[in-house]
Amino acid sequence: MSARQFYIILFVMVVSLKVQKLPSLISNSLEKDTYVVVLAFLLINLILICLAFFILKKTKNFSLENSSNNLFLKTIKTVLQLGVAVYFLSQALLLYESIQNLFSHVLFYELPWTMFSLMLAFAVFYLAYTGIKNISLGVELYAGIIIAAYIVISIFGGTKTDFASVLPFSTLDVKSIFEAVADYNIWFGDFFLILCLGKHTTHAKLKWTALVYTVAMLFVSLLYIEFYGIYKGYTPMKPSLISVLSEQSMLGVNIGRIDWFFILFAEIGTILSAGACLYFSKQSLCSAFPKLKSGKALVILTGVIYFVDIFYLVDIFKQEELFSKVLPIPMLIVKLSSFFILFFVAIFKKKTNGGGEFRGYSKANIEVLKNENAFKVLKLKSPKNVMQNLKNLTPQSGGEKCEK
Amino acid sequence: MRKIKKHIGLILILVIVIAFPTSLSNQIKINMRVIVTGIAVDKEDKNFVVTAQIMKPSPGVKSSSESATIDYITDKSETLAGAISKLSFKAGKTSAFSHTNFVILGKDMLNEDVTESLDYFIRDKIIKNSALVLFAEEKASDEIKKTKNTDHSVGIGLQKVFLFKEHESDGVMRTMMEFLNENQGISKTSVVSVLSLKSNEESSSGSSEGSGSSSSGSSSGGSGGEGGSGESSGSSGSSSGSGGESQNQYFEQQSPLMLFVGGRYAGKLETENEISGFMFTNKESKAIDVMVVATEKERLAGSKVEINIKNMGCSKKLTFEDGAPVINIKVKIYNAEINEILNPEIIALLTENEYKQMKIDLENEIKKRVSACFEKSKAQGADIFEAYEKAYRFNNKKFNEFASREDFLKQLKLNVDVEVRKLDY
Repeated sequence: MSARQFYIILFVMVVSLKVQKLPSLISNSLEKDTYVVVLAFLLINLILICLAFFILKKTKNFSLENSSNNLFLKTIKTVLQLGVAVYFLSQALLLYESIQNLFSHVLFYELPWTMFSLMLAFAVFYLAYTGIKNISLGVELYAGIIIAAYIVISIFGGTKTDFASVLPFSTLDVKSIFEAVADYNIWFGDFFLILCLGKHTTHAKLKWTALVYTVAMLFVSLLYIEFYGIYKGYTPMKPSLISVLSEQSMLGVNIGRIDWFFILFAEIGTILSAGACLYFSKQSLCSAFPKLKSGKALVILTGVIYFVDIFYLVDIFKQEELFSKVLPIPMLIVKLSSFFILFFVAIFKKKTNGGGEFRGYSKANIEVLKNENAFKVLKLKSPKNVMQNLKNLTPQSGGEKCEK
Repeated sequence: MRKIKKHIGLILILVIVIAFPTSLSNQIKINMRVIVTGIAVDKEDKNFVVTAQIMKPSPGVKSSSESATIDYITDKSETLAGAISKLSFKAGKTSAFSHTNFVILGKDMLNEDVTESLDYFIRDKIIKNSALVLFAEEKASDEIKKTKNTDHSVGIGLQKVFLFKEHESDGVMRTMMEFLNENQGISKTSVVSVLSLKSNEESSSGSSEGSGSSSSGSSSGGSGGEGGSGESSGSSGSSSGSGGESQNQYFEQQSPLMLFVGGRYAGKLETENEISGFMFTNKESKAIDVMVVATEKERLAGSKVEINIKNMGCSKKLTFEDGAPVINIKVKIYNAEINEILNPEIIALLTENEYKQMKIDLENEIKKRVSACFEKSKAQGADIFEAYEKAYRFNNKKFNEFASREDFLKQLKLNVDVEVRKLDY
């Protein structure tokens, strides 16, 4: 994907995951200080994003998917990949559940959702099936209306917000904020998302990524402030931020809530994000079990999402238990383990003349080989010259391979 | 065959998109729906009595409001949710509650904590909690039935009417969410309008026909310009809601404002001074008519002057003086006009002194009214200007020095400053 697509998909995924049910959950304990959790994660993730870019730069040709003959390392790799698959599956489940909740409880509550949820599941499946390139292309195409929808909703909400409701700052309970950061970290694994997205693009820059991420999180914290500023003590009882933020501003309008158009446009981003998370989950699952085919893996994962949503997450206590108590710590361990393994690989990866597979080649020829495009051009245009160049390399193995 | 296999995904999508929606058999046709535009809630012994104002689209006609009829259905149950679900059965059709734009609560609801009784509206996702809240002085069901004899779109669109009335300082448009939030907030005070519809014979002279307040005329204008204030006929049906037949009902001007503290009824603002005093400090109120008695000693001495304020604003700030809280209210009159001077002499132009004095008189009148509102609400234990909340938010240190909200209110003082920027004559 291009850098532009990377930034857009990052913005949409970061915002869409956090503007569903999460603020209602956090406000139950933090009330007016809900937005502080977002700012706390902004700071934490900015540091980790810098490290993520360092990893991406240094481990371009290395990933956890590389095979190893060491059984112990193989087991670790499989467990981690499985963990990553579960992590992204939980993200996809969160997004899927929020869209399903919006349609089934708010918009079309009369429809039998065990049936109609199949259509939603198919949509998410198909998105993941088409791959991250197509998803990012889709996000880029719809970026205008998705972002405009978020902005319009926030403007509508802002007209009815009591912005003073976040005061006073002196009553900030730092302990409760730390607890919330621990309980709800599963919603804020954005550094890991950037690491996975970053592997699919070579042109993203750290400063722009940090800027886009900062803007996204500041926007989310603004929405949280508006949400609490409108509903105050009743915020925990609201189903999701995105569906009710503009409700109080649509007064005296004969045709009902026209803001629903914008909510549905914004939810396009949520569906696309769910597809992207499902894709990453599938990738990780397939790397954990190489013999499992991509299509089958997707069917299994989509089926898990569908059945867990329809039959398990109907109980709101089980929902909260799963996402706030059961999953946070294991998922945090998986994310941080994968992250820091790659980080240490990036630090301790030996620097040679060429490094890695270029070890031992003379410096004069290294530039030719490192520049992949030039190598390909050489190969196409003048294979003899390439062969000649490689023959001149030391050790001998380089020349022998080329002759074959 | 190969081509089919290649495009199987696309074919599947097309089949689902085309076949699935068209096979839905539970699509509700417009003439199988009743649209509930308003709800009235009374309490009878331990039961909630709910009356719904419903609009039934006429069969064979497209959804034009002029072809719809207004009717009322009533039922009761121990819970609000039970009563409302029973209404659906009584209507015989699918009830669409998502268009409910007002909720009227009856006098019997005032005997207990109103916010507890309204728990249904917090939890229910269908009835919007941006619906207007009103109170009736007697039975809410009687009051809602009078809406049938108002102008059609006025009767079903009370929220729009009260939005306009609030702008004209003739009522308060308080949504369900605002009402609940204010009662549960720091200041625990909420102000709600009383819905009072009078018939032609009942309404006092000048209260509904071309009075200074333009609310009764503009309420029709605000809802689509259908008929003037004196000429609108019951376009929605022949049977009357209550009382005699085909009586035209009008909104009573300057109907009382009810005060609630912590969800419980605390009292009313009833006099013109008290009501208008509140309106001067209400941020949604922009226009108002004020009658001032001129204190100028020469030409204008004792004359009654009607001033139309076209645009005004207000800011409130809490300070502490010698440990006592003072709520500083600044009322800004951006644009006002002298409409009428009752004086034996026709005064075309005011002298500079007269003009200055007129401004001072207006400022003093506004101060008097705001003070009247403050004193009345303070006596009833209501923190009408949200001083306690301002202390909590902006001066938390000093706020903590007070033992309780009541202690704070006892010591609370008022300081009103009025600035008249433009007064035309």
